[in-house]
Amino acid sequence: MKLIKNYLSMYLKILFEYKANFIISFISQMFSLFLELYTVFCLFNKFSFFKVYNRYELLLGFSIIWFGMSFAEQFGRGFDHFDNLIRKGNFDLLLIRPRNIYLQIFGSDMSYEKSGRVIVASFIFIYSLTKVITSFNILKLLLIFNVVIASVIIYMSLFIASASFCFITVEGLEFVNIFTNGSKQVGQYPMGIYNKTIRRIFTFIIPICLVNYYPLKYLNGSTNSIYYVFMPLLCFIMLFISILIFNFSMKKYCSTGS
Amino acid sequence: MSYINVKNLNKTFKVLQRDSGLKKAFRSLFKRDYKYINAVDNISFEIDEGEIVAYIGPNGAGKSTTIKMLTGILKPDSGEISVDGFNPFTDRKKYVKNIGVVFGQKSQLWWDLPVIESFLLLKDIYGLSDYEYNESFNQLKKLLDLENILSTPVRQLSLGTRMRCEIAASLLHNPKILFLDEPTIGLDAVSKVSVRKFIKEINKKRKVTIILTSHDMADIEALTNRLIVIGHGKKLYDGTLNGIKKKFTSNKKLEIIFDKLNDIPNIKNTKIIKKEKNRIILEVDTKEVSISSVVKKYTNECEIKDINVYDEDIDNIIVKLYQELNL
Amino acid sequence: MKKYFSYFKAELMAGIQYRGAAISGLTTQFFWGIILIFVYKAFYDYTSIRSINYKELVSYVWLNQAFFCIIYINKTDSGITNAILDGTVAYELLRPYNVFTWWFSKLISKRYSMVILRCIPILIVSPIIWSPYNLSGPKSVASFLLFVLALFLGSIIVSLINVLIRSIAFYTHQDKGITSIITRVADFLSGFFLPIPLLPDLLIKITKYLPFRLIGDLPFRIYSGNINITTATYDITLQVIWIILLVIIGNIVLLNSLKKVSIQGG
Repeated sequence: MKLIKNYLSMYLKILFEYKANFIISFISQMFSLFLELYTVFCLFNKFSFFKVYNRYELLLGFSIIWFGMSFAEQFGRGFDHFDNLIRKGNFDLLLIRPRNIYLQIFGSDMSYEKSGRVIVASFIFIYSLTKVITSFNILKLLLIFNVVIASVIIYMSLFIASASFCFITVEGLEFVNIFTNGSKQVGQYPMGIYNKTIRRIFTFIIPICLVNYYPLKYLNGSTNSIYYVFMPLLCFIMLFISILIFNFSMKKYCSTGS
Repeated sequence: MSYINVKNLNKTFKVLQRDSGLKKAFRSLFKRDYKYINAVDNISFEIDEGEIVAYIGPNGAGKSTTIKMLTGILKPDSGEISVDGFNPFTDRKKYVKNIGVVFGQKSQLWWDLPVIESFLLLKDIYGLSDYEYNESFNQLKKLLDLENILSTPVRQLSLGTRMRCEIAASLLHNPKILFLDEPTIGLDAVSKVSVRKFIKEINKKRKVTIILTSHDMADIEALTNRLIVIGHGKKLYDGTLNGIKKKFTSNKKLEIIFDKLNDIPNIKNTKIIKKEKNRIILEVDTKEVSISSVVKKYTNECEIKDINVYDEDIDNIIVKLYQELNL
Repeated sequence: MKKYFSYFKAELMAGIQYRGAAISGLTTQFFWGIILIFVYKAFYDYTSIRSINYKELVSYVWLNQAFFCIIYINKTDSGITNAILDGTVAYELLRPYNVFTWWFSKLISKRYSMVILRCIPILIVSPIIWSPYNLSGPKSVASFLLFVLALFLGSIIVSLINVLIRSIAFYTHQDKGITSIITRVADFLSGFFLPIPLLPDLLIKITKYLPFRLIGDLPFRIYSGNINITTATYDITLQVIWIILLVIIGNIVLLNSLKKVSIQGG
């Protein structure tokens, strides 16, 4: 725990070394979020979708996906950009330290730049929550908490799983973006607009429906089943699998070299 | 049983072969050729506690592979490694507390932050108590003369200073073994000398066992007498530096300074390298002709003011060694 | 001319060497296409719109994916921007040729060397997917020929824009920041993120006065017949005019930034 705090403060200090750079990227990150949001609204307007879809539910789904992804990108950069660590050979340096390797990879790279997105997404999330929820209770609060955790876990798992590829090859990691950016592209629209097959893919393979589809039903009062409150926590299965894959690939890397 | 034991160590890599030429490149889109390389081929050696050992060989000889296996990063295909009773790969987490590693071309310091920040982080990574840390840190600070640079961001340090900090960083947790992978690469002459000095002092003061790889023979000459030479993954030589010198050199350089030289005597198996007004430098093949007989002949021709005898350059010896072993 | 060609060949070679990168880029583009097509399908299932029908849009998406490396403005080599920042760009100025031409040819050959590996597999696979998710054939022979011409001119325009952005970065000595935001807006207005017929009406009007829609949006819509032959020929003339304009503007900006660099000494 103390080590995590230390890593965070180290990166904060670096941020102060490059204040101007940080501000520019911070703004440009926020800008890119707004541009995407604008794109979504353009499509909704063009197809007169707001007649059938609540715009606050749209915002809620959009913001939770962006929050989860940006948060994971910010603090899980070590996994997101794991190829750098392998390519420069700095992963070897982590192996000669007597600490948990996951913790060290988290600490190896971090950037507060994405906080621009995290902050904007959080604001949109809270704002739309107040509009979507008509009656408030403790279970809904618990669900919201679970959703926030799950959104980060889902993207973190994706990063960890895709980092495993770096042990096999560091060239051509572009395709792993399909899972992260692809799920973001799909998930930033309300999942309700898609057909069942697509929703199933994004429930069982990349489980973003756990945070931006099913919880909505509970929050807006269309269902009362208690299962919905704990459903987002199913994402831990995904995290577990990702860690298994990563450990397996790491073992292989250590016995074959690069 | 020695401190470090390596027995019949093997490691094979699969390497992709890349061909030049557009056509072949296109073919490689669909079919790839691989080649197997024995990076480390049946290597055994023993090292005692407190020793400094130089591990040398031409590029691609398998030096780094061995170091990686010794530090627990890489799993050997076969063979045994035991360091202080540990198996580096299987006991990695416990084992690495005992070792410090400096990779000359990779940095463990935080580029953008003052040196001290990196040290403090390492303190937490190794879980050192304040007392342990302070004791070790103060000793290193004095030894490596770090006082004035601790609050400077790493990116502003010169290469030599940075290397001093790297070495300090890898010694903070008081390891028993230090691996130095090309510690003087890219340094200027002054820094090289000082880095060598520190390495020696640390070895003496902390009784650290040091394993060193380098391409700079002067490093090795200054630091150690024990030498392990590998090439193509095989161990070629294990012994003293003097031993290798004796084995591979018979030539010595002889410098004679005089007032006036009447005539240059013609001696077989000597070669004149340089001739000035009152100085001559000869290369003498000592297997065929002794230094004293050469000097004697010169005394006949001139009044000798001074004589110097030099061994052959260590770099040349290594080149010869590699040539002889067909590397 | 020869040095540009050998540069092109070297880039192509490098691209092929990294087979993994090429295949993975290809897979990315392919799946990205599928994702977009399914997202749009959700909208078209609800209602259709006048400005572009689903079949035309699907072709648009596939062509966009196939020629991604040609039309994406943001796709510049980071090497040069890094070179600007760490000062090695000074070497560029020592070379015995026109910097503008050199940058332009480097950028355009990089784009073509990347696109060759990626477009062919997509152009082979995407037509054989079941309808209506496939890339349909061109509207007519004429529209196909005009598509090829417009895409070629579009690749010139995008490379000229890159040279311009690079010159600005050279001038302001900044890589990220303003230029990156400008590039994003430009990509948005080029129809890269959202086909121009799907933009709000006001933005569609604005894009008419900008060169960005002439990069990819124009050729793709000519291909599917969303833009008819008469309008197409008119727009292609516009492409030529923009090329001339961009050459002039680019040269002026570059000249000024070079002057600034030589005064400041890099």
